[in-house]
Amino acid sequence: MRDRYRKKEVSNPLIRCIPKDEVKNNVLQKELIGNTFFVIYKSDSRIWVISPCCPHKGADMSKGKVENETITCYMHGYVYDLNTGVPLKIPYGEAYGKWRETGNLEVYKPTIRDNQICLDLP
Amino acid sequence: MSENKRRDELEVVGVEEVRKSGLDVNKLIDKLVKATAAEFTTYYYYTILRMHLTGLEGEGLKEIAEDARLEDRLHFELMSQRVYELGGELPRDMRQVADVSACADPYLPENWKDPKTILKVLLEAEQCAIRTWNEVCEMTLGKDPRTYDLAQRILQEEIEHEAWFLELLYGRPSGHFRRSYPGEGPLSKKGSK
Ligand code: FES
Ligand SMILES: [Fe+2]
Ligand SMILES: [Fe+2]
Repeated sequence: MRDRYRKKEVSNPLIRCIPKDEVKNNVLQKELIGNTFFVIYKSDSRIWVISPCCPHKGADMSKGKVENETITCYMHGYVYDLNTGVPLKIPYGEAYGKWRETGNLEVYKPTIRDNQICLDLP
Repeated sequence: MSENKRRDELEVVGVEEVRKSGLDVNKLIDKLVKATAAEFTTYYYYTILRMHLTGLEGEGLKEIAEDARLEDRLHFELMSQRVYELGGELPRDMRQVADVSACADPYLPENWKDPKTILKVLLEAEQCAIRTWNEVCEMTLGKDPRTYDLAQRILQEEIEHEAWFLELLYGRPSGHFRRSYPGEGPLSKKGSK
């Protein structure tokens, strides 16, 4: 996948942006920003940027399903809050022991500048 | 080369080339360990599931469950070698194998006397395996030909396994006809083409 992100300001090389209209609506879109992949989801009014790896067992989050500001991982059906990354539903009971444990999904706060979605990379 | 060279100081061209292709080798190893662990746990749990396919109906199902079970063992063995080639390792503690597995433990269902409940557990395990190996294929395509080749062999057999269980559960034709011998692994047996 080509890196379509461009440096927004030469003086700050850590800010990478993508034109908003390159991101389709209501689709989980995987994009390379700098050297890292992110997953972007844009609805009519909101934009979320998350890690492409599920914190449970690392599945590809771009294959998940978004509903009511949550995302369901396609691998084992865990549900995460898109705003906070907190797991909301773990479909497996205590019998699955340590295997069922998960962390928070990594979420990033994008800013919109000149009709571009920008990320301030650490 | 000094014999005292530490393992992590050795030049490993087979790994370097993968890295140069742009693949994050540590991420790949992590994914392979989880996927390989899942093959081992399914092999173990399928043993129990197969034992419980009893009665008149169960007899015919045993053979198919046995093929899937033995082929999962082949998958474990096939990919274990690759993990070490890449510089990774399997968990040294057996207890961790189930904890890191890419797929949930396919436990024996409570009402196992109904073979359909066992078939549903088997089906779910195969579907998780397909998703997992498919991700490995996507990750390595055009970047790590060796891992890709091994993963796609496993994936093909997982797709067959899924089709078998779908046929048994829902009558969806799979094209299945018995393997030449139990657990043949036409693509995953070492030395198979
Ligand atoms: S890997 Fe996402 S729910 Fe398990
Ligand atoms: Fe398998
Ligand atoms: Fe399988």
